[in-house]
Parts: sequence; C-alpha cells; structure tokens
Amino acid sequence: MSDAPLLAQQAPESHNSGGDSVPAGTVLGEFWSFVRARPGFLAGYVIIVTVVVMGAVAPILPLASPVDADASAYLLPPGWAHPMGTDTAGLDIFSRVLHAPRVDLLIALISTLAAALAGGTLGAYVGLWDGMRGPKGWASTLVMRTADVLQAFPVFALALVLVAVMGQGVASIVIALGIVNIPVYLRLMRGETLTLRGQAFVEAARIAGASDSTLLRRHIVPNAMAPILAQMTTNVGVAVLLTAGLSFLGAGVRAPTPEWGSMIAMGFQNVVTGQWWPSIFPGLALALTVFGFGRIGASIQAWSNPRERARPTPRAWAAFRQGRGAR
Amino acid sequence: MKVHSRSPFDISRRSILKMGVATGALLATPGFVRSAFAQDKSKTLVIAAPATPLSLDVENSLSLGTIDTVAAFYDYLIGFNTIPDAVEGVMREDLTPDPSKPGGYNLKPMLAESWEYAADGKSVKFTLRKGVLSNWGNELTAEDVKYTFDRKFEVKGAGAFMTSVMGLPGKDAVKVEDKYVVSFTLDNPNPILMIVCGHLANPIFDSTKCKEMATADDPWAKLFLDTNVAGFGPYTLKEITRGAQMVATARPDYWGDKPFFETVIFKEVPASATRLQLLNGGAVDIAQNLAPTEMKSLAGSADATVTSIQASQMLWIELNTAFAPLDNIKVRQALNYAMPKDEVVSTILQGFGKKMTTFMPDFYPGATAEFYDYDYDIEKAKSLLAEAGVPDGFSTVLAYNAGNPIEEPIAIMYQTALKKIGVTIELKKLPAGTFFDSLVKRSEPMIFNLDAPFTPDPGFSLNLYFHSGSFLDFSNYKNEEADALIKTSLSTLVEADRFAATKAAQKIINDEAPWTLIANPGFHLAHGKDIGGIVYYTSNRLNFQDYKRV
Repeated sequence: MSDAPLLAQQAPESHNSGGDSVPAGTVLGEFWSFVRARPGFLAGYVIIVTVVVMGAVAPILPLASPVDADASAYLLPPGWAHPMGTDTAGLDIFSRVLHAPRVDLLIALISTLAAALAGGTLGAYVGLWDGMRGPKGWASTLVMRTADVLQAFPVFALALVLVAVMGQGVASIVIALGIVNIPVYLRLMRGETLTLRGQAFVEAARIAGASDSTLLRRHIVPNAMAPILAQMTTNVGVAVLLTAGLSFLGAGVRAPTPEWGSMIAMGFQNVVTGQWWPSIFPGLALALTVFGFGRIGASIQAWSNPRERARPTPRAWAAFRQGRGAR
Repeated sequence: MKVHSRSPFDISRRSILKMGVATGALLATPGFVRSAFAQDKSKTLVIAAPATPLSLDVENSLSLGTIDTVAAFYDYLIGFNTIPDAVEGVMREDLTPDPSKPGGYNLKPMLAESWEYAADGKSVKFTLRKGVLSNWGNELTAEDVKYTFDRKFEVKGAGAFMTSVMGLPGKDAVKVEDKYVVSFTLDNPNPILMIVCGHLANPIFDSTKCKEMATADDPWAKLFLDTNVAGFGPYTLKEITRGAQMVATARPDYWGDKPFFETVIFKEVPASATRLQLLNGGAVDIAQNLAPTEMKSLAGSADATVTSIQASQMLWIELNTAFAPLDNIKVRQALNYAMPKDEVVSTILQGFGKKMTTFMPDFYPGATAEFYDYDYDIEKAKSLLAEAGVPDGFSTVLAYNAGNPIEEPIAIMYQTALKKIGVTIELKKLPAGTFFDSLVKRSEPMIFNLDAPFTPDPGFSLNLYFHSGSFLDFSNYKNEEADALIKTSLSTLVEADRFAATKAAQKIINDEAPWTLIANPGFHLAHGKDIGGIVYYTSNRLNFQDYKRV
C-alpha cells in the first residue's frame, strides 16, 4: 500500500490499492500545468493567492486602523488619504477590505474543514455499512435520516437559527456553518464509498481480513478524495458568502471587526444617496473571492475527469484554428 | 422577391419588446404609482412607514405604527392648545405653564367641553360634548369614559402605568355623575392629572361597541380592538393588513373639523432607502424615519423637503448600576466625558439634532442644563477613572439595536474614544425584538435607548426614567433623595415648589450620571412640498387630521 497523491487516483484504472506510487511532485506539476494552460482556472488561483496574501500582510502594512473610528473622516469618498473612502463611523474602507480575509477566510476554512472531516468520516462508514443487517445497518440508516432532517431546512435559515441560539461570535459561525455543511460531505463520501466498496481491490482487502477502519483508511477514502476536495474549494466560497450573509443580517461577527458582509450591511443604505463606496468595495472583494474559490473547485473537478483533462487548452484550439498545427 | 404583408394585429418579438418597454415606462411614472395607491391624489395622503401598527389597541402596544395611527381613530378628553413653532408654517403644543388655568396649562376642550378642577388638586369633573358619535354610530356618554378607565385597571397593559401616574386609587375613582358628566377623585393631589388625561395612551373607547364584541374569554374586547377601532376620532379604519398597509377614511359624522385628507394610506416599506425613493418619485407624500444622509439628500429636491422640529426624542446609553464598575459614580462620569457628542451630531446625525445636555427633553418646563458639564474631555475622564480606582480601565459590553442604523456607527465611535481611557467595550448588535427584551430585563451593562416622555412635565419625565420604582428605570438607578424630590414634584400643586424639586433632582441625577448623554435627535418629517399643516406633538407622532395639501 502506498500514500499515493490523491489527485492521481481518481481514474478507475489508476486506483492505488497497493500498486505503484506516483511521486507527488510529478502529479502536482502535471496539475499545475493543466491549470496554467487554462486562464479560466488560473484566474481563480491568482485571486485567492492575492486575497490570502492581502489578509496576511495587512497588519504590517502602513494602513489606517481597521477598527478605530475617525470622527473627522465621516463618509469620505475615495481619495489619496483613503483610497476606498470611509464609512459612517469614519472607518477606512481600504484597510478594512484588506483585513477582512483574516476573518472571512478563517471562518470559511475552519468550518469547511470541520464539515468535511465530520461529514466525510460519517459518510465513509455509512457507505460501507449501507444495507448491512444489525447495528451497523441501523446506525447507517439513522445517520442518513438525520441528514435528511438537517437538509430539509434552507441552509441559510438553519445557520441563522444556530447562530441565534449559540450567540454572536466567530466560534458560533464556524460551528453553524460546519453543521449545515456536514450532510453535503456525508452524501458525497457515502456515494463514493458505495461505488468503491464493490471494487475488486476492496473486496480483496476485506477477504484478507482488513477491518472496516482499515478498509476506509487505506483503500476507500484515498480514492474518494478528489470530489471531496473539489467540493471543499467550492464550499469555502459558499462559506465566505454565508458568513457575509449572516453578518449582513446582524448575526455575524461583532462590529467593528473587519468583515465583508458586515461592511456591506453598514454601507448599503448609503448607496441610494450616492455614497456607494462603503458597500461596493467589500462587495467586489467578496464576489471576487467567491468566484476565485469557484474556479479552483472547477479546476479540480475538471482534472479529476479524464475527458475534461484531455480537452485541448484554449491556446491549442487557437493554434489549431490558425493552422499552425494542433495538440 | 417575396414580400410579406403584415397585419396591424400581427405580434412579433419586437412589438412585444416595445410593449414591454412602454408598460415599464408607464409603471415607472410617479403618477401611475400613486394612482395604484389611490384614485384621488388631492384628497389622499400616502405615507411610507417602517411598519404597520402591531396593534390598534394602545393598551396592547405603543410601537411605532400604533403611535402614528391611534390619534386618527380616537379622541381624548382634552388636548394642548397649539402655538406657532420656530419653523415657519409649523405649529406645536403650547407647553407654557399657566397657573391661572385649571391644571396649570393652556388646555383645549376635545371630547370634554368643560371641566371643574378642584383647588386641592384631588378631583376633576368633566362635562362631555353632546351628540358626539363613534365610528360605530354610538353616542359618547360618561359610561364610555368610565369603561375606558375600568379597562385600564383590568387589562393591565399601558393603562396600569397611566392609572398609577394619574393617582387613581381604583376603579371607583372614576364615577359617572350623569349621562354627560364624569368625575375623577384621587386620594392625594396630583398636579399633572389634567395633562395626563391628554396623553396618547388615554383615548376614550366606545363602550357600547366594545361590550358588544366582548366574549367570555375576552371580556375587554382585546382581540377586537387589536385589529379594529371603536373610538370618537376623525377617521375610521377601512382595512389593515399587517406587514402591508393600513387604510383610514375620514368620517363624515365626526364632531370636529373635517380633516383635509379623506383617505390615508399607511404603507409598510421596511427599507428607508426605498421610502426615500418613493418620496422622491412622488409616489408617497410622507416618508418616515429616514436616515440622516437620506434626509440630507433631499436638500436639492424640487418636490420633497424635510421639516425639522425641536422634539422630545432623546438618545442615550443606559449605564446599568447593577454592574461593576458602573456602580461607581466617577466611572459613570468618566464615561460621559468620553462621549464625543459634538462629532456624533455633526457627522452621524448630519446636524439633524443637537448635543444632549439635560436628562429630560430640554424644552419641557423645568428642564435645565445648568448642571451639565459633560463635554468631551479625555483627560478629565482619565483622572475620574483614576479617582474611581480603575486607572487602567476595564472591559464591559455595549448593546445596540440592529434596527436603528445610527447606533452602530455611534457605538464604534464611542468604542474608539473609550480606548483612549483604557476602557474596552465589546459591541453587541441585537435584533430589534431581542434588543427591547434586553433593555426591559436590564440584562446588559450598557445599552442604547431612544425614547421620549410623552407628557411634557419635569416630574413625569424624571419619574419615568430615574425613580427607583419606575419600570423604565433601565439603569437600575436609585437615589433616595432624588426619589423623594420626584415624589414631591408629583404631589404638590405649587408650581414654584414643583420646579424647585425637579431642579434639585436634576442636579443629583446629573452629578450621578446614570446615562451617557448623546443627542436630542429631533423630529424630522420628510414630505412632499405640497404637504402642509404640520403640528408637532411631544409623543412624536403623525397626526393625519392636521395635514393638508397646500
């Protein structure tokens, strides 16, 4: 058995139940070449890297305080002193937009990881035990029915209720977003496990005496990770959006913590009177970030699909059309 | 070449598009929007409000929509006469004390055409106007007044507070003398008995209709009065759909002057930006509760304007003395010195209001800013904290209402100012419902409050917010000397003594600072330029019957 890179194992013929391992650098390199050749995907990585760097370096940049009000700078339009203007509390929008990823991405990443870990683990066991008789089968059914109940509620409404119950704060949002996303990973992993558990290499391991956890850990989960990863990247974007939505409704982070959703909420009423900058700039940052994560998710999905992966790049198409050869 | 002849009735995609554009343009026309609301523009008043009334029964609710609509359906025994305001074309209640008049103020007859106020201040006898009909056609009698006050004692809503303020010892205190005469008899003299009779929460009900609608489970017709009206006011209710709109129509059989507007449409438009757009587009005549920047944007409007009036509204922060270190007077004083009031007024309020310097509306009789000394002074705040034994500051929580867009920026500005004296406040944004619950339960160390005492009297105002027994003493403030002075002001008939007591009480309250004073936001009515007849009331309400098209 090997600890083979996950992305290399998606195609059925390349499953890694004990075969050769592929050097990580090679596969990542191939993946990167795949992304680099497709500007639509590459844009997503550029955006997210920019946002992450922005959030990381914001505290050391010579910016105005993102949380201290300046009464003399009430609702100033964009200018030299305040590149993105100020809001109704005299807070510098530029500084706040740059600081916001520290909160937004933190919440989105932790909640997504937690949901993937909990949902994925549950989904793997549920998939493995599905249809079995006895306690394992009952547990599998119980988990799926619980997921049905959770998913019967609109995601945003459920998150809002959970935050209202637990109280305002970052921890509450992380827990709420984690809970609402668990069923997504649960179903995804269950589906993958149901497919994989009938494969010969899994059957062979079972006959060889592998326990349930060994089967999952060494044979099933590694081969089911590509769709989970694709879902996670998409989910991070959605989590950023949900965080912003909760803050917009006053159930998010506490003011004046820089956070895109709360910034939009604080400024949207001024748009109608012509002061567009308090909400438009954080709105753009939010939209770009969600778009970026969406493109990253799409790139992983495309890479894990052999047909998509084999599709010519835009440059190759262009070259083909110009008659300079193709592929 | 083959040419197709077209019939004028052929419908192509292009013609559908043209029709769509034409229909859209028509719908966007202000006149069309208005005609969708009402057929007769000149006699119809359209108001865009944040909310329709939660209830039409003042015993049940004194929320925004209820306050604005109740005086259209109900009349009162008496009211204040009006005098010209400083703003041209605007009238306001005459709050000048006049000891020569019964009750000490210049009051006007309404449902009561005359009254005899006893010299000892312990009783008053009202003679009712004859031939006054309710919206159900029942004639006003002394039984209606009796029923109204009996209901207050039984329902125990806002009326319980009212009967207490009026000093009514029980139901027997209100007595029917004959068909048109009713008397109120108290155990102790009450200098504000007369003016409290005109309080917004004391309308007279049509007892005949209420009794008709009562059931065994609902003997005081609460369910009926929640969504219907039974009063003697100038309007009757045509329809109410909570969350959408309320329509009132003028009564042809009203006893007093007929209102100019025959129909009033009170539409719920939750977003202030939308209310502004509707006013700008001419689709509504009045847009309530606009944000300061929105009101400022009307400065250049050809069709709409904002009438700003000095008002009883006050915006402050309750400093809950039950939480340490807010139980320390010097800490509370320090928190007052750290509030940048001038900046709040000039920026967040955009000049729509003024710095608050008194612990009651500053234009109420007896209000004084003589003891005020809380202008922004960080050094003084620091030294007070040192004297209080917390030189390094402390941490606490400030809660604010998510439904009031100006509270969040003020809270952030205050938080920044407090950092300079080492005080860290965590800001807690509460949805409107939770906010009022927290306020009433006094569960937060610091919490915003926006309110006004409706009765323009210093004793009434101080009693409401600072007497240790008041249900509105949200800062848990208690000072026995202040309590005694407030009680004196509400039990002596000698005006000089009353005002001396309230002045002494104001000094104590000012020195002990149970509030962080912020601002008097004022009363601002955004309306079409063709709307006139505005009268300001200390309840800060709309009064449909006053308005007219000019």
